[in-house]
Amino acid sequence: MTTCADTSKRLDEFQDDEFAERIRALAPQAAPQGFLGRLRARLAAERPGLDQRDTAPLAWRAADTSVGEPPPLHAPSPLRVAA
Amino acid sequence: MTDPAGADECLVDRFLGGDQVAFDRLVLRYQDAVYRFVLWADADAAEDLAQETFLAVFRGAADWQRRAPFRVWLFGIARNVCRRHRRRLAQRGRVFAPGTAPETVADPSRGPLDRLAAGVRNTALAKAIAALPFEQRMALGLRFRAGFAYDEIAMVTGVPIGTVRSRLHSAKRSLAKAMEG
Repeated sequence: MTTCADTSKRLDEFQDDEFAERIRALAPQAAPQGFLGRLRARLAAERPGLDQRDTAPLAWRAADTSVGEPPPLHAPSPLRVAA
Repeated sequence: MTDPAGADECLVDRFLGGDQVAFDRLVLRYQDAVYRFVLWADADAAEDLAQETFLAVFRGAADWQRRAPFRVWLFGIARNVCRRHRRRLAQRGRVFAPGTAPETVADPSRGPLDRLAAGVRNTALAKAIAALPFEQRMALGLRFRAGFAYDEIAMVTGVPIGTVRSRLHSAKRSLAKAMEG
């Protein structure tokens, strides 16, 4: 039978390092593959104009093929082209 | 040597200045830790919860008050996301189901019997963690999955440090008992 004293002793033996090690062994250590890509897709869906603004650097757009290629930043407007 | 330009707060500044790559770097830096943390809230929804956390960072970075380090703010958001998720499940009449899957790390250097024994121990520990009250489980996750100090956990959860100590003590006591049984 387990007594309170036994439990306390066991608890004292449960040093944080040991505890952390056991907990680390319980679950996957990393976010699923493609986490950032899916996050970018959600951001793009939430703000469709996001990757067309000057605030979105080229590296972001080059790395993200899931939301399509944005139009050139300084493309002439269709009205001006028609005129 | 620490790169000051790569510090969390500098990356937030760069992101607010329009540098999306800085946001990517923040995500890459914390995605694993946030994922591990929210896994205990609901294993099935863990990726969604982690993404909700970073979406909230994206939306709220401009309003961040900077009263605490970035990671404290980040995990405070993660905890709030988990709490909201828990409330939503309760409103739908569903039982809040924390992650219980004991996905053990394979250690090929150990024999099959050792691995089996380790698996049984891990299953008991995972079940015991799943049975903990929500706030104890969150405190445990912040301590042992995110590596937070007690005062940081107090900041994240908005309770006195004594309450943090008490929650962690109770959690460890429950787990120690489960491991004995």
